[in-house]
Amino acid sequence: MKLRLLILLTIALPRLALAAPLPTEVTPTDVVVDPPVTPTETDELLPFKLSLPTEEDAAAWQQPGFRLQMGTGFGILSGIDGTPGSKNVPILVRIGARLDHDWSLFGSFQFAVAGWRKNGDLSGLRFAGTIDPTWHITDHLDVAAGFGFGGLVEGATGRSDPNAEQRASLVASYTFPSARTPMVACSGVGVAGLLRATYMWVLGPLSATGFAAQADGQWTACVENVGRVEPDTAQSIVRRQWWSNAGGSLTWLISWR
Amino acid sequence: MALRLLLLLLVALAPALAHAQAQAQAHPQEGQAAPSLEPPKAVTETTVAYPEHAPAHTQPIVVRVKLRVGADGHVAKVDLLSPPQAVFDDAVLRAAEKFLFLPARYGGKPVPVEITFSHTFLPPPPPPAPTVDGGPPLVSTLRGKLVEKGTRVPVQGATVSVQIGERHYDAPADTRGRFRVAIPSGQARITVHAVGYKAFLQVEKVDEKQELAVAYYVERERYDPYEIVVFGEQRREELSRITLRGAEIKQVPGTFGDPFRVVQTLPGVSSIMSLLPFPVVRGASPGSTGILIDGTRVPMLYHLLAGPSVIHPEFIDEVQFYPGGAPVLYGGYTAGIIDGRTRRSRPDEKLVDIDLNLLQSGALVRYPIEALGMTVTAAARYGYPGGVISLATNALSLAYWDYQLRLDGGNARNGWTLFAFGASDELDTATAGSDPANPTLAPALKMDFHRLDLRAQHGSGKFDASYRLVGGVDQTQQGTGTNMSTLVLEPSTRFRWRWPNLLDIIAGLEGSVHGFNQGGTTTSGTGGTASGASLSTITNDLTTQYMGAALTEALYRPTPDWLIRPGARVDVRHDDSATQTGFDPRLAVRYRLTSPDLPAGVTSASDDKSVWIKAGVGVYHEPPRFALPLPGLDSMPLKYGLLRSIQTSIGLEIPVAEGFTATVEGFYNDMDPVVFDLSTNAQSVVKSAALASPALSSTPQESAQQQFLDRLTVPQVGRSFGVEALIRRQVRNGLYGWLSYTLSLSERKNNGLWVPYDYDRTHLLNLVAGLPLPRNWDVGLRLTYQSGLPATTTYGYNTARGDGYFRMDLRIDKRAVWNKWLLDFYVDLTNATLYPEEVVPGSIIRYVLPTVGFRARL
Repeated sequence: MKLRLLILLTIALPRLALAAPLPTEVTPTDVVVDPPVTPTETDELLPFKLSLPTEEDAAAWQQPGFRLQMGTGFGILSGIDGTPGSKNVPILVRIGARLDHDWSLFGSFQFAVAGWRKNGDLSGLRFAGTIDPTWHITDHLDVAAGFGFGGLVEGATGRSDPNAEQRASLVASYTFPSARTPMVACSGVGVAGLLRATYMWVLGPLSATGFAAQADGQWTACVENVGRVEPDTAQSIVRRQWWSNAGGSLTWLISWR
Repeated sequence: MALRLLLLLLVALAPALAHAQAQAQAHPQEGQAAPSLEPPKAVTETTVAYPEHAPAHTQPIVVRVKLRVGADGHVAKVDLLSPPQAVFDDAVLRAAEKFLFLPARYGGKPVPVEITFSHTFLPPPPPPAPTVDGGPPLVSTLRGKLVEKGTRVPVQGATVSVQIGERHYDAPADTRGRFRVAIPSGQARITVHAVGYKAFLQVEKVDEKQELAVAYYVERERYDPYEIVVFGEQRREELSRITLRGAEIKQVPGTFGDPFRVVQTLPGVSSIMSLLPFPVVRGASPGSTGILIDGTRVPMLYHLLAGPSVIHPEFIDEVQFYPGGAPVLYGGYTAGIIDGRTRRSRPDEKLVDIDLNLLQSGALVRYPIEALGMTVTAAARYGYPGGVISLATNALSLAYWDYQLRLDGGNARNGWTLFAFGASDELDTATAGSDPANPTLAPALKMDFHRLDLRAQHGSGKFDASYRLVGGVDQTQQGTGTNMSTLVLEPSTRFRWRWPNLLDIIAGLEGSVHGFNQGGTTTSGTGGTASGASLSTITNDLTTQYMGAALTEALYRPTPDWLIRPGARVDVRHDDSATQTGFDPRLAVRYRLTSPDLPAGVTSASDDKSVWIKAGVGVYHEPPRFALPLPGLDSMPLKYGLLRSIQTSIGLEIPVAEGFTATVEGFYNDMDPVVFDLSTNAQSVVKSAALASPALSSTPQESAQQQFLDRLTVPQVGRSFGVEALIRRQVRNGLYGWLSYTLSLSERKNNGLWVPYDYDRTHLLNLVAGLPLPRNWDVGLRLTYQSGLPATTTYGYNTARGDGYFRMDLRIDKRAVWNKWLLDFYVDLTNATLYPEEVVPGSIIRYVLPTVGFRARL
């Protein structure tokens, strides 16, 4: 059986390395190759040294490459035209790349845990995923504008349902004409946008930290599942309502490269 | 009595067939004496001249290329691997094309290979000062050692360059990373250059006649946890096997690093619901797919049914998945096979692995004991999901633990392994009548199992043998007082004779004895469901079940272009209710259609680089099992008959581009009979009932309990057919992953008509991609779409379909390097877009599962 191999041979590298003197020298070089070095007892006790820096930290952060940012802070999401709102605790994950000295491109995922102080407030999880072109105005300051999807998943809200009878008798899905009487619990996805300014300090060649101030807007197609299906089609019977929210947040970020 | 006979048979046969092979059953390649590979040797200078008009630079510039060295020793192709550095790239590419080698040899024959080659251009030093002789006297010495930062292994192949004044003094480091260079005294600027390592810079003051000893940590450019040194040719011996390794099983988003969950993204695999890791393979009930560890069934693969798997991921070397057409080495299943393959520890392997995340903590230690000639690996994990759940409710608590201990002695062909593992899960719920504000919790469900797996391999010449004995105990206790347990004893042996490149003969014997205790009671009954108790009414008469099996198959290659693999196995099973015999003949055939891009002078082609057509047909029998695996509640009485399927498939494997392989396969499975099918949809519905009832498809209620059990035990007829496509990229560096699509239909005959199976999904689409990045980053993306499940309407049983679901998962891995250890950090977002999923019509869930974890490797 004849074979044809496609093999990556890193084991061959040392042989090639021996065959090919890696550095290309153009100056007089005194190469001294002694017999194998015999370690002494004290060699085993030698303190190890790391390399001296070969690049300024700030310069390294301006190099193109992968970036990850994670952060948390405090936020507010207000309702528009009757839609509920509340304070929240956002958790931010941003994944992206520094493109050049002036620009980065990030994908942001924000998950905000919204609590309620009184019945009727927005309660549950607000989430958003946006694509954020980012302009680095200075070495520390950048601004970004993002657009993408956003949504809400509400839990126990304490809101009453003025349309309870309608809910019990629905035989097909229904869309509310407005959000002035909010649904008991909203779960749905819509569109989201943001504007953000971030100020960062470089901690080292691989990490940085800073703060971000962000303004958010979101339009959510809320869906409330009544727990029944249309018997002829097996499609879930739901009630829908459009919610509009706007707000902002202040977050503390850690960034890695 | 039957057990004694079986053991006597095995003991009697074993010595007579003592020339046998290692682990032939599930890993046929492992025991094979692979032909030796001799790498190519350069016969010309492999130096690269410093390019003229090169731009100024202060740091060394490394250019890495991939050379394809033909069977004639000439360089047939040069591909750039490192980021573009125009002038330097051109210099290396031009020079490399002219290299000449003694060709690589495999089994003594010249073969084409691909190798990587790196060249480092040092920055030109300042113009030399005028000297009148050879420089100052070399009165001092610098010696030292180079150790890799993080792993503490010696840095080999490095060049240490010392600059004193305007002169350079170079010395290579030996294989232990040690170097010595004679230098004049003075302020020394020391740089270290090694392929794959970052540039190192240090400054030392060397006095006259001093021998200065130093030790340096040199950092690699990238620490890849899944480095594979050599990609050898994979011989195509199977009909439809997909093997996943390394990052493909441990860094796929949405799997929590669990190797077995990755199978959900492969062709032909759908799910009951997205978070439940029980696969529906080619339209068969989940219980009909074998989920195995080294070929042996595990009674409970996932903690708490939906949690992480019960084996520490570090033990799993690869996952082999057969959507169908499994060879006779696998018996007892009528659908797919998912086999997690562990690996032997190397005799010198040391590892300490500690992981910590929001749901569990664990540790693994691997250490060789030279005096005993073995390597010990021990691991344990404790899961505390109850802590997270307590944030939402105080009426429920979950906890689990597992352990593994593995001893490896000898080598892969002549060696032994002891593998002990087990797991325990506990679900606590509020006791009846306790205060809702501060409820008293008591065990509602406890599941545990323990296994001891003893293996020995022996190989000599053309023969290899393996002997194996697995024993264990499984148990499930319900709060109702039901206590179901099973004692397990499973001896087996395999033999393999090899005539390289022509014929392999495999034979084997398997046995098992399962002793059941169904229906014992515990004293801590606190509630729970009645389903377990009802199922135990089916299994109450089950006391002992015996199985004996014999199998044989041949891998015949009449020419390099053909593989013909006939085989058969006979399984005889007996319990108090019946004796059942299954005869499973199977045939798989492969034919090499073309071998594209074959260099001149090479008449044989790699299996990887050829276009193959493949086809297979086989009979598969399975004993009746419960639809979902639970410890102690697995086997059902044989009086319900054996399940049987006839699996047929035909497909093509096409290498579409460098690193890319495309596979297309059509299949048809005839299932007759099907028993203990997972089936939950209502058989019929009327409008008035629908409006009064919350859902058409439902978990069986008390009143429907008997109907549910009847549906499980009444034999049905089923069929499934479809087309599966997979485009996969496997590379050592760069983007890897796969795109899979399945168009299929699985049906059951209902009142004389074919209707979709309750868990049939027409379209399955998965995209998995992972990208290693500089500075030890890895990013991964997984997109999944599965079309909706059938639903019952007023027009009849399963006449409509619910909504499909889409999921996007993200994962980011970062490996931080400390002086003496490595710290892995990962973020995994499962269903990052919170897209809703309709579990059953009328019931929609929307979730996101963020996971953050750490893993330290010492």
